[in-house]
Amino acid sequence: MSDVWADFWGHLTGVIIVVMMVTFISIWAWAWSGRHKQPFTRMAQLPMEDDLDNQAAAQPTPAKDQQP
Amino acid sequence: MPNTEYYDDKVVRLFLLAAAVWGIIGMSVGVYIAAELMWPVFNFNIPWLTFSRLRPDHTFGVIFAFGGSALMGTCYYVVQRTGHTRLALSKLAEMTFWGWQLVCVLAMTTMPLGITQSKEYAEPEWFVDILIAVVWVSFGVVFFATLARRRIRHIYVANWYYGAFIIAVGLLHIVNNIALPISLTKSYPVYSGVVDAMVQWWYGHNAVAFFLTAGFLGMMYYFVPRQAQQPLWSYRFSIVNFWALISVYMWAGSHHLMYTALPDWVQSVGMAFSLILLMPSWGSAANGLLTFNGSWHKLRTDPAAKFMVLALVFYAAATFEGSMMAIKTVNSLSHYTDWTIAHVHSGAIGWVAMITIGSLYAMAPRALGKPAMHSNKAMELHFWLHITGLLMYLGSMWTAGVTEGLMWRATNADGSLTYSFLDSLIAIKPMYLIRWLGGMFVLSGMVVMAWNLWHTAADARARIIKPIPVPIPEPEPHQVPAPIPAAG
Repeated sequence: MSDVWADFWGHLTGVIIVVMMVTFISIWAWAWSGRHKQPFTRMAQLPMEDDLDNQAAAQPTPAKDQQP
Repeated sequence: MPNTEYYDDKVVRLFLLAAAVWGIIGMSVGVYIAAELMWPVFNFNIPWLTFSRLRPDHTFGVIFAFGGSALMGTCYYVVQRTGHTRLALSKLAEMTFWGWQLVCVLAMTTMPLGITQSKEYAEPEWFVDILIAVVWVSFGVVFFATLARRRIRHIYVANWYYGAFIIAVGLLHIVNNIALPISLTKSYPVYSGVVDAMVQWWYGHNAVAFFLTAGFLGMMYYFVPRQAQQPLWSYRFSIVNFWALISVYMWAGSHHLMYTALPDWVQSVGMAFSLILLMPSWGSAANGLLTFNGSWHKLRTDPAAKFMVLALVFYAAATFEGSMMAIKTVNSLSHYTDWTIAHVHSGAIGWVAMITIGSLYAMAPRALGKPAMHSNKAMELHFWLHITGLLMYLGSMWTAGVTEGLMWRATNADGSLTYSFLDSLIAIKPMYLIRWLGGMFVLSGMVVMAWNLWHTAADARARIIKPIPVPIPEPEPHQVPAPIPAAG
């Protein structure tokens, strides 16, 4: 009986670890996916638009790690 | 119908004022109890003036009254700017302001009278706890209702942190404070023994995680790029850091209960997660600091930027120290000593207070209808007062902590203790003087800030501020959502 439980917990922890690793890698993939490049570049501009004289906020500059 | 909408900055200004006032009150209590440790005569043999009764007033005053007001104020400011929308439910937002002030006043007047649950950072009794829950849920309703009517599709990352802060703090507060009242002033928690301790430190540690970290990171992710006038070093990295931070922090609380009756494996889980936590912590710190690349020259002229950069340095330092102190062998030296006090103040005066002060200096002129703060010299003075006080505080408490740790564990050849507790107390007494002096410096800086804010707020007091219009693309006759009228 105890062997069955030990096997069960072993498999369960293994499955949980795999699920967590897949989730973690998926978050990276989601954040780095090409379709997010343009909206994220726009997002990164938002804080600078609050300046008094910069209302028009000129040309968007991409985040530094997304510049060509 | 006019197609314009204005930002609701009235509630932001109220919270700004509250933060300045509570900052001075909370830190004054801190300086007073530091003086009591140096000169016990300041007890005056009056029960409610003793260290034990006033200490919760200091922690509640700086964390929830000062920090809380600054967080709610900046949160209301940021969610409007990053969503291009006026605050939804203006009346409820103003109610959260008065409700929160009532919570702070009630908590800080009842705790010194001995009306307390004796749970660290959760001292207020059940009737204050219920009020906190009501105000907090209303705060969440205002925040998420505002997000729901945003005009920018994607949600800016600062709001992710503010959102996590609101949801998690609500959850932690309610679960940790489930209690059975037996009278108006006394209740018993439903948990007992080591389960009570674990629930308490699951709460306590995650108050650090979601109040003092996630909330202030929300501030950081908006005001640092704004002040540096540079986009975040990496926007996508900030998202990975967000998920890593909130999923790892939840499991680290047991490191507060090393070498206690808590099962050993639970202590080890807390230690392991505390070490992993270093990665998302440093990720955010690096992202903030690297955002200043190309803007470092601003440090010469802009005291707000100086506060922010030093805040990020202390965030990195305090989280590194925290991870190290969670290692069992290090903890056996540091626990119960003033090293813990040094660590928590490195986070509190270093990270939390400095990112708050930097953000308030960045936000205040805009919210108060001025091109800049009243006095740049006063901001500069505040910076140097703050940093001097901080270094005196940390240096003295680190020295005191390591001294205590080493003296308490020293044994003679026959196994008896080398030093009595009194020996260690006498050894660190000079450190208590330096700590008190450091606190005085930090407090004076806060007074300088309040003076500066008061003068910057001249137009606000005269009620001649023009409301700031929400940038809505024109012409667009049928706005979705429809603009909210300015009145209200």
